[in-house]
Amino acid sequence: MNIDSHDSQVPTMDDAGLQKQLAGEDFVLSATSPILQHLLVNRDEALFSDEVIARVRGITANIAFQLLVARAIEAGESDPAVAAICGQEAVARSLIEDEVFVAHIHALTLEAQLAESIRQRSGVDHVLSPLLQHLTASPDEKTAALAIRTIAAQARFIQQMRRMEMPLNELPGDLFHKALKALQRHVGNDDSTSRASAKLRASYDEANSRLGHLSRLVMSLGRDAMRALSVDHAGLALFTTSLAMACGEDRNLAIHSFSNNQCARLAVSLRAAGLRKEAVEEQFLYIHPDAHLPLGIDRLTTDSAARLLASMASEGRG
Amino acid sequence: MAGGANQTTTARTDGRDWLVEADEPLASLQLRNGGELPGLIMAPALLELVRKARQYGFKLARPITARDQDDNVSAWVEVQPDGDGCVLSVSNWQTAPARADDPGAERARQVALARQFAELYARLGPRQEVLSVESECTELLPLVQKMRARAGTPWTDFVEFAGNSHRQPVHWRLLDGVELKLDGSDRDWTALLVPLGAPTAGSDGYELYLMAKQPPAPRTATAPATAAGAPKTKRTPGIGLEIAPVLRQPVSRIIANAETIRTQLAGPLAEEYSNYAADIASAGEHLLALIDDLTTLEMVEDEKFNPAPDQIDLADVARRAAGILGVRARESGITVDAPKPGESAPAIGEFRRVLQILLNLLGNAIRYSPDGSEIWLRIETDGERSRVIVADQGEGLTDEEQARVFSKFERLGRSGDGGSGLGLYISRRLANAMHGSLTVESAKGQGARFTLDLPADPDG
Repeated sequence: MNIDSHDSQVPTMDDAGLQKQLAGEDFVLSATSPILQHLLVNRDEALFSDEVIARVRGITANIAFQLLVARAIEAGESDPAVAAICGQEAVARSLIEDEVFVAHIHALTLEAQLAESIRQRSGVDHVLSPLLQHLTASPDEKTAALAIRTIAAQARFIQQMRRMEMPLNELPGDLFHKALKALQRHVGNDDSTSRASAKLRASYDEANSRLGHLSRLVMSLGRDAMRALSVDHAGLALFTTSLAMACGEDRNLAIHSFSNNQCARLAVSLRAAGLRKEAVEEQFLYIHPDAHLPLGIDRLTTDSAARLLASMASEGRG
Repeated sequence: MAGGANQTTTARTDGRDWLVEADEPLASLQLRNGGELPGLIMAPALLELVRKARQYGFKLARPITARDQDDNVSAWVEVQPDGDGCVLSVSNWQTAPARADDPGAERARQVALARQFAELYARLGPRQEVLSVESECTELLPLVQKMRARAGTPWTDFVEFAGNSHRQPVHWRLLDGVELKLDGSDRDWTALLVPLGAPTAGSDGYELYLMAKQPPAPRTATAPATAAGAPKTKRTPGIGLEIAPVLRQPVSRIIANAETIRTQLAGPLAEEYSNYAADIASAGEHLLALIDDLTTLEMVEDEKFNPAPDQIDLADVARRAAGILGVRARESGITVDAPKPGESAPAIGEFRRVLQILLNLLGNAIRYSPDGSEIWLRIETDGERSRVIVADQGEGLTDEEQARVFSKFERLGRSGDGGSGLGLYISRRLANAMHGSLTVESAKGQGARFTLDLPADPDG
């Protein structure tokens, strides 16, 4: 870019700004064709439908808003909400630029959507499943209390997703950390930001989030955890968590395996989790009522299914 | 594994992510995974979680899984940052047999371990000839120089194979994992070969890793132990060298005076006062024993600690231990069956340290055996290793108790019997420092068998 006589000099502020902007535009250009190709090839409109995109954007903005309100309160603003609206766009943008962050919001959006369509299609309630109901009557007080908290968290989740909200406390720890960093990047690390961050940190408790409750509940089932590997019995949320835990994969990946172009992944995951072929077929009915089981799934043993998933995961990373 | 699904275990870590306090079953997991307490967290998933919570500065809660010998352990862990470190709360502890590993993954792990821990590394050509060789181990220096001087010679010419001798050409698979001896080293070694090149493995040569089965010279061998003991030493600066002699004298005087009062040597006394004096004397004796234990503890945790390699006879040491504690055993009506005169098991180890270990084992056996029972001291030798076994008819130890019986300050729930919880910890440390081991076999209700295993004396 430095082609004039300033060649040997450090780029000026303007140069640096332009360079950054050019780099951003390069990124958009280079991403254009893969996105287009993807949309043309995959008819799975659910994954990138207008509604999903809008919801991801809305939820991210809501997270940015909460961060800025927390800071505005510490800064003593007379109307924190008004002050927060100003910076909301920029902080949200910074969050969207984080691949992991946006993937998480995307996955939860898909989960809420699928839960809704399973409810309409098969009548499985997205909050109160037979298993959860059964656990609330557990003789073990701790398990019963946990089940009740999980139901409450799930009810809140459904409601929040409809409103495109995501309380900061519901973010997994790593993303919560990233959110605080995004706030710092945007407003600088002044006193009110540090105070706001400290307050948010102190009130954060990963164990108390919906995802925390779900994992913990699956763990407390112990050897009965297989009971949660059934959409109609456990509900989609608990089913997803127990599938991810049984396969040792990320919960968001499990959600993605429910989309129409991921039938093989879902079938292999269910096998790896230990379901028999008939049970795999039954679960398919809830998630993909029209799809057929991929060929060869009945010959796959549980162990080889697990190895297949693991090898795909390591190739993907490498 | 103890602990119901809903029991909560607590633990504490410090600013270095060392586990400084841990309840069962977390403590045993840490020790079985080769860790120390206090010491760096051994389970990788737990370490990552604790590190994150500490760095982020807020509470995290997640399920973790860890490997525990042949089992997979899973648990729900909540980590709350607290001061420099974190407070851990672990629940839903569950174990399940580990899924059989993919052989490929197992091999990959072996190779990774070899790359990390091999003390000698060589790059070989396609005919297994030495191209280059590296080692940081001083005892192998002459061998390395010889190998470098005669580069191009097959590596098998420089080593001595246990059992059959291998002459080149030998297929690499036959040599992978083979046991061997090296010039200038008393230790047993194994080789690991990684073939390079495709499609024929080995067409581009090999990586050769030599790993010792025993740790290097004692100095380095005790180094990690010292690291773990470091904070402890800091808290009790020089108790052995500085404080112990100063304490020992007044405590001894207290005991002597209390004994005088108790036995009414200085004149007749009401019985309750005589009993008080007996209490004072026994408390004083307890204090003295504790000072001795702490002194020894400091010594065995010192990296310079290096026991003398005496030529000893385990049968002789066992008979002496039985003689020393014979009176105490007879007081409880316990019979100690020591090795017969004429039996012998020559071994290499420092005489007074081995005696100390046996006194500790035998003393424990007497203390925890029922009146009128029998304790056996048995010896074994196979030319390579010599062993002495202390077997009792006490109530025995559960698997979980066996796992922690060698831990520092472990009392297995006992109190008030004068023990410091250091005896077995020190004994095992001593055994390890003499290139030996101290192990226990037991089952609840079946008595316990403690085995001290030392290198045999080839000249004995």
